[in-house]
Amino acid sequence: MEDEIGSGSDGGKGPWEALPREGPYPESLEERTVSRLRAEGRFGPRRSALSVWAAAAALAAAFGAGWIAARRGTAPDDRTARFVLLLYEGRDFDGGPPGNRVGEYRHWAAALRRSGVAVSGEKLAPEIRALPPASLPAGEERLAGFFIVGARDIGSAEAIARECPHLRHGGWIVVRPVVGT
Amino acid sequence: MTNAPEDRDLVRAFLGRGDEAAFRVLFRRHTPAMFLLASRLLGGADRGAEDAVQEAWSRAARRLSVFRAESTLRTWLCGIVVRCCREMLRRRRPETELDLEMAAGGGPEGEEAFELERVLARLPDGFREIVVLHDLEGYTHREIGVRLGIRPGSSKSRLSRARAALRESLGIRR
Repeated sequence: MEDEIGSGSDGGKGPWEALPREGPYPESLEERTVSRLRAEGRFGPRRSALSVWAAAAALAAAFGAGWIAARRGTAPDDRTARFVLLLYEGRDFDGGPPGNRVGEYRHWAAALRRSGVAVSGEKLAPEIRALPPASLPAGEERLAGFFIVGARDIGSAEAIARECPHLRHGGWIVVRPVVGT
Repeated sequence: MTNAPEDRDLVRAFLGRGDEAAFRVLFRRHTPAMFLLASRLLGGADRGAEDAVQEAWSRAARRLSVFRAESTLRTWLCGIVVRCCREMLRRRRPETELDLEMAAGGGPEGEEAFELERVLARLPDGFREIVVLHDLEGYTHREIGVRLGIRPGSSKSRLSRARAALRESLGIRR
């Protein structure tokens, strides 16, 4: 019998009765999860088969017209806006070997793409030319790179940014909506 | 006074209209159990538990339409958490028998529940999983065998050894 295994001097499952079966979870987990599901298209009216075909036809037409020219990443769908995540580094930034960090960021971006979030980005070299030259920022912080992500709103984009490895290295991120022109 | 909506009605609203509010109610209702289960399976690693729970909800959202209600929604969701944690544990370094001996070390301290959680977290992955699933979640050895891909006999023997390590750690004599 299954319960025989539990019949020992400890009184079977006795000690475990003291343990709860539910516990608190981090507040941010709900928003992170909802953001992910939103990016996966789980919310909002479900598309009918007809509208899926219509969307496919529109996509094909757009593709044929050369409107889709995304070199990297996935094109955001019509329910997402684009947000730029500006990655800054200051004096206290501790990124470790640059090669490792790039790999880490790439891994993060790849995981985002797998979960359905459109993402692209680039690392910026330290060299700067400002015009006019006096407009260079005086502080020690520098813009080290950026990502462009697809998200429903700025809160969702912020939730995505919160998971970026850049923050773990002591950098900071500014999230700004991209205005389509 | 209003009655809380049933799981099945919330699932229907989520599947039918993509109702975010319905999903949030389901999330808040079941995540406390899912998170604690993941945290225990992963040895108290909250960060890993967050990832496991988020992944579990994502998978659940994709597969809710095939949920047959042969079990409760919570049991079904916890089953997905177990699979997600299992995949995460597989990616970890394989642990050795020595780890089980190390888990038995250290004297008891603090309150009983806290101490139990502490010694449970110190068990090697393959042993902790069995204790959590059998003793806390009520799975049978046959069910554990199916979930973890081991024989029921292996589940029994691991549970026995894990309990011995726990007893020693807690200072309980046979």
